[in-house]
Amino acid sequence: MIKAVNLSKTYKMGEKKVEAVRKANFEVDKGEFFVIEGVSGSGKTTLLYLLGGLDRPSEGTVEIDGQDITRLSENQLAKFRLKNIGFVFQTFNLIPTLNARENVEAAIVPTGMPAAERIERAMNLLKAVGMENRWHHLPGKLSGGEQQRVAIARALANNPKVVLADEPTGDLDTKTGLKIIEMLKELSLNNGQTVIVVTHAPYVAEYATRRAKMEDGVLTFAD
Amino acid sequence: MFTCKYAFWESLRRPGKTLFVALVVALSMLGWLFINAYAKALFSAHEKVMRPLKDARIDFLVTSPRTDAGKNLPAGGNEVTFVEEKGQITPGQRFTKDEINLNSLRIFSSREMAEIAEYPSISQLVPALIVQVTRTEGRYPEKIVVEEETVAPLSPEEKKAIDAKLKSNPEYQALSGKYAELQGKVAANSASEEEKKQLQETLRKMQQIEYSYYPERFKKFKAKEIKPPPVKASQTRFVVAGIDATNPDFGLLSKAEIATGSYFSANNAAEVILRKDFAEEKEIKIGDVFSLRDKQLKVIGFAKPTTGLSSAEVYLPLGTLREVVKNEGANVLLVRLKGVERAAKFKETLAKILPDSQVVEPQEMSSQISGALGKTEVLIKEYASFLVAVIVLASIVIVTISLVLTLTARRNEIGVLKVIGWSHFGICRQVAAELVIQTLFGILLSLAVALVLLVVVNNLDLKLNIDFNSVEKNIFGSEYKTFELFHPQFDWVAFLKGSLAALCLAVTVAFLTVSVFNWKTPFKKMEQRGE
Repeated sequence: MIKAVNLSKTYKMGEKKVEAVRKANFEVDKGEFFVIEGVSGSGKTTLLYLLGGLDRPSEGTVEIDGQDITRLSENQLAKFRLKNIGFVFQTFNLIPTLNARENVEAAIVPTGMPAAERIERAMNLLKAVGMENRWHHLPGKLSGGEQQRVAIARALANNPKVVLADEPTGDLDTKTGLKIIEMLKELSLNNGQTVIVVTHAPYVAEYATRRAKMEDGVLTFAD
Repeated sequence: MFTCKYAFWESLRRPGKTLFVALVVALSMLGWLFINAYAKALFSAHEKVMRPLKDARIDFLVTSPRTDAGKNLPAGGNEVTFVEEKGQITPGQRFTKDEINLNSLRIFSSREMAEIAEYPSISQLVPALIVQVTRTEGRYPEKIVVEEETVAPLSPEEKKAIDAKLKSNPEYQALSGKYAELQGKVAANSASEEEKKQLQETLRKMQQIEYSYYPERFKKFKAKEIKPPPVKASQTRFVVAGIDATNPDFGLLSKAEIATGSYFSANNAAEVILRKDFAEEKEIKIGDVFSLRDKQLKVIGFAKPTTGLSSAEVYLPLGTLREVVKNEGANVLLVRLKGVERAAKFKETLAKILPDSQVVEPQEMSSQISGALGKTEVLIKEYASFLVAVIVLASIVIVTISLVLTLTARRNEIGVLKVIGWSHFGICRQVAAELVIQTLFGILLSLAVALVLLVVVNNLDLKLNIDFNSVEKNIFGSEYKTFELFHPQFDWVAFLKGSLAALCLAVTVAFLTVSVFNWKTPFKKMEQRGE
């Protein structure tokens, strides 16, 4: 499903070169709940962005369903992400001027789906994450957990093959965080979607079908 | 629809920025609208002045003004003293006296006119007569003092002496004989018509001889002398133009300038056409009788002169006016040449024939009068585009800077849109929609402000004074005219053009700004931190 080969990313910080990701080689199968642990600054978010095509690797390739996304142009990547990848962020990144339903709709708009159908789909997704009664609220009026649930609904808007979650529980209390993780776990179990979660919360790892650890840009697998 | 909704909410979320962009757009639009409104107002003012003079279709208007003419009347009434020697004045009766002034312009002699008419380049020469009439109107006093003088009758001695002298006068004796003979024939009914006339003539001659023998007191005898006191009378002055009715399409008043009624039927018809405003002021209707001196004229029409060649209030057929003023001449000559290129040569010839003449060229006159307007219009046309370009350029720069600042602040949001699959075009379209909404606010604001400001400007009662005095006082009659020309109007076409341009520019600025800055992801800072 996802294949990273010699994946590396190097930044320049002034005179200094920082190797955020060092020759990562791994594969993630369909339906896996893959958790990458690591402390802050270990390079795990960079790895996630490389996998999602949000950033270009300095070296190596990323294949998703046999498609090398490192060779795609910006617009091709946008289209690819639209159909294949859903993102969940630590800070939710909802659009503040749009209500919950519109935030979900925003992810469907580029597909050109008719408005009525788009609204219905957005409401179904909100229902799936238990937010159907709060659809008209702006993000500012929602709690952190509620915002993250909306963000998950948005990530699933186009039924992607892969869901990439960057510290999805980072801004949530443990109880809410657990609910979110359970929700993501259900996705991989019920829909067969591949979920890759980057986290430093130890309890998240317990849900993983496979775990890896990131230390100074080097990815190591637990077993 | 989603894009519009998103753009609308986004514009409301940032009211300061929306208002700022709207104000910048509104200022640009106002600049554009006002430049257009003023340019258009000046253009129409220019046209308004030029049109009448251009339409005159006359190449030259020849007059010979007199320097001592044109004394102004005092305002209000004048003390007028009447000495009525011939008729009887009825106390309390209204009176009207017209004093006609033919002295303002020299009357051209028939020889001079014939000489000008002979000039080969002349296509048409039409004479006209312009006179100034001072009308005194009032009412005779109720009481008029009549002084009567009685003359002592002839004494028997005086009668005897006169009889003796007559009998010794052979001429008188011959006339007496002839008279007796003719009277006999008349009494016998045998007198012919010729003889009856001779009888009357003989009697008249006999009376003349008798009168020469009467004492002096009988010769100076006045039965009555009427001495009315001075009365308060009002005086008005108006210009009367006698126009050649045989040329209804050419001259001081053409057929086309008749607003109501008809044109003259003949050159000596007892008809009059009044200028519409003059008739309204005097409350005269078509069909009424208008008298000029003793001549009764039927009002057949009202004129609204458009050529600006004459400011006469009253128009008469030339023959009729000549009859009234008892002058067969003309003091204005209207000349049409066979070609404009012959104008200079004609002027030279005219200066030889009529050295004291004054030549007015309507085309040249129109340029003189409207020269300042024309210059202003050119100035506006030339510099307005530059000014508008500067305003628009400044607005584009300001709006672009504002957009860059806003997009920098929304970098995260733009990045999220990219992450969830929005294309570059989709993001450009979104930003463009937001800018279009803000521009629309600006356009509406400019519309409201422009409409209010134009009402204010037009209420300032701006007028343009055009000095006719320098051109030809005697022809135009009044010293100068004031035209209410300057009324800048809201130009809807300019508004639509400006709005369209503003919206197109907004879309262009949005697409270019987003493309040039090309925000990639919301995570640059994180990446730099090496997370």
